Amino acid sequence: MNIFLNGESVTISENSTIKSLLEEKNIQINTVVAELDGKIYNFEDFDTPLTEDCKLEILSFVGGG
Amino acid sequence: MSDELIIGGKKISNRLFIGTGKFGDDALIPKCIKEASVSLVTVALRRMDVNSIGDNIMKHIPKDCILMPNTHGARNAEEAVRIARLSRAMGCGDFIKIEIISDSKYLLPDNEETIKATEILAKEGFVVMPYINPDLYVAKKLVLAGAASIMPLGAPIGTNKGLKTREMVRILCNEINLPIVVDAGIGTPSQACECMELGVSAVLVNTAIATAKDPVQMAKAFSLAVLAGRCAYLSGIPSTSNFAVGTTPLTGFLR
Repeated sequence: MNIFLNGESVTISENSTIKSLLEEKNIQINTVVAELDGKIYNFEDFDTPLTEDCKLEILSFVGGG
Repeated sequence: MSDELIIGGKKISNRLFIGTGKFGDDALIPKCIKEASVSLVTVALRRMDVNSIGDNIMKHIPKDCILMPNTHGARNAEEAVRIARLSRAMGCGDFIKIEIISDSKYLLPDNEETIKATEILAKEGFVVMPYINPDLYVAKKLVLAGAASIMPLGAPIGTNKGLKTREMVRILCNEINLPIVVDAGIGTPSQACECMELGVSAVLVNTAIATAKDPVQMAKAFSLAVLAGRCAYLSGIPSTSNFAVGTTPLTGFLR
């Protein structure tokens, strides 16, 4: 299915969750936060399923002043 | 003598706060934190490049540090609130530095939008640290909005020009009953010391440390300067005079 990941259209496996997508990409889940269709999820809620055309943002901390 | 700085219920042992941007090597960050005994650091939230996982900044920040994410990238209150909520979901506490900027030339903060964001986030239990262009009326509104501190700029971000807003910051120190933290523009330890002598509660430094030839040594220099300035302020700095005032007794001259 197709989703919008960090603003870009990507194709992912059916029945994906935030967690499965991150694991596929070798991202440590407790280092990121997600926003799915405007709702915020922390790593404890990453079992949330992704749906066709959903908008998913994956964010992490970087250096800043 | 007890001289504790407490913000948002947290005791902050060093009045030098440091930013974690612009370091040539992030492995220098924990060394700076250790050498300068820093207890509060800033970070920023960004979209992750999910196809190329880089270094994680969090592995360079000791667990006992207070983390203050900023809302860098926000151009209005709504965007700042969104970034603040996402940052808190990272599980690193309630501190948030409100930074709302739509001017890319001078990176000056939008005070009006900052007040709006502060009102919303303070109600949600954030420890709100608003970065502002120093203005007494804005600071008073931020107090009413529930800010935990006021963070006036010394000079535009990254300019290293020092406390160009001295008179306005002095007024804030005198009139605002919240910790005043000079944030941005402080380029040398002597400038940080000047801020502290004026009576500000803390100084936030990033560029001057991160871009020094030896950031670790510079972090230490800033920490010492901040401590020196604080001690001087607490000691009561004597007034100036336009005429010479002798230090040796004016009696018992040998004639």
